[in-house]
Amino acid sequence: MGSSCQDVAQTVTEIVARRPVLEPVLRAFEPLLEAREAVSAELAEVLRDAAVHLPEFRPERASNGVPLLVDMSMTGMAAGIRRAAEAILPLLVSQQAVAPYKTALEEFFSQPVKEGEVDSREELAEVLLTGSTEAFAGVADKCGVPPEVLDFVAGFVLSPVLRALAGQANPEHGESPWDAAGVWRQGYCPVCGTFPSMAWLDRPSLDEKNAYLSGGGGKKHLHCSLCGTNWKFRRGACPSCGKEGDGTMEILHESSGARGERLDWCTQCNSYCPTVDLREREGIPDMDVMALGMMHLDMVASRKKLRPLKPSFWNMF
Amino acid sequence: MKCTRRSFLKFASASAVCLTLGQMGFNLEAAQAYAGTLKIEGAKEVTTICPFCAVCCQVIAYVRDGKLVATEGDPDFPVNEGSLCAKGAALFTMYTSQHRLLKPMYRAPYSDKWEEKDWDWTLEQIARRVKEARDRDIILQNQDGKTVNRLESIFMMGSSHASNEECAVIHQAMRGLGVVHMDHQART
Repeated sequence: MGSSCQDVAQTVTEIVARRPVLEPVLRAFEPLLEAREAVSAELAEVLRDAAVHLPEFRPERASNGVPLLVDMSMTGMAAGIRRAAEAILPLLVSQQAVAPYKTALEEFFSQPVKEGEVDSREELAEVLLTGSTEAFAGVADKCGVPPEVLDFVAGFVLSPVLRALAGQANPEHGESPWDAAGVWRQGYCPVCGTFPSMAWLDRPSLDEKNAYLSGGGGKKHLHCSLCGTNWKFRRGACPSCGKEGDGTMEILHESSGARGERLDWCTQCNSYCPTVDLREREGIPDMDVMALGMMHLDMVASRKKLRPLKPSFWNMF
Repeated sequence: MKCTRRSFLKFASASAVCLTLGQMGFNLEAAQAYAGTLKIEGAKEVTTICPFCAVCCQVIAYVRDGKLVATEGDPDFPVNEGSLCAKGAALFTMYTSQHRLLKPMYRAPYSDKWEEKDWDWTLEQIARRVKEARDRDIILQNQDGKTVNRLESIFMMGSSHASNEECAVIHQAMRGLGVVHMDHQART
């Protein structure tokens, strides 16, 4: 999205100025989101030192809908997960639902890395990505924490590691390989396979050779809140059920002053994804904060019996 | 353990059991009340084609309760990638402009005033005048005596607002009358 993105604090400030009613939630999660951003930058080096690399992008696999992390072993990630936990866990345990499990979580995430042994943190990363509820419950049991609490904690602790890993595929300039090749057509993340928590419509790029053309932009990008990946997607298609065609997707927005904030929902499967149209905003917000800051529309969607594409703590009521 | 493609797809459903803000002790009553006060509108996104020229740029039309409420270039269409020319960008006004003619208007010869007419009167006038012109001016044979059935006193100017199908019908009607002078405005 370029270098003009707002950071976490700027996005929170902007949302709170418009919707003060969301301030308690946004301010509570602001330090967490900031810490996650800071530690993921630091972890890029840790992963390099541990020789953990994202698999090479292969168009033929991508065209079959196989995310990059499929088949990748999480071995070697324990040190990165431990470092992320050091930065993030102290902020997480201040949450009322997590506080009773402070000791268990600290023991689980801060255990020393042992060479040649199966590391339970790496196992956690694998079961989180495989989506096996039974395997996840097994790890939660070993950790001594209810699965829903571990899911919440693991999402925040593993996210910086996966962001650092996904960042290896993003060139400094230009498009990511999955967008450049144009073969990734799925509604789930091309890196980690998670459904997106946000979508955004991009701004027009100036074409000097065709300066008489107006408009442009509006291309839809989906955003994965777990590994931070963005990828292009079709406007008329549902990321959840894959149906496309006229009338499949509908939008919901405020009658006035929406500032590009809307819900794109599928008339076929009733799933929705919050979307922000950057053509109607001055700054480019942090998409993870934006997802949280569009909670009022999640509430509207909940009343209309729509289901979030990516169920998360802020959109389940 | 390694992830498989199949198990990846289970991820969304597995994560459906998650903590909520309420369980974390947040009081969302004020936020829920605020959400309840919001005036929400909806619209369908329907793709269509700009009618103004042969480039056929694709357009996303927003439709609410059967009425067009906005248009924009379709970013997924490879020809225009979301852009539109000045005419295409003004497509929405073709349906909403206050300057659109909603009823036939007639200005009599030598008059400086337009008057509203109904369709029956207007169609009858057009038919009568076309017939008079054709009866008067039709050229049945050329100088060599060959049959040409040519009518040169009527000129048909097509509109870029007409669809392909409408253009085909208009063209056949004009050819049927013998009209040879036809042009169309469908170009950028």
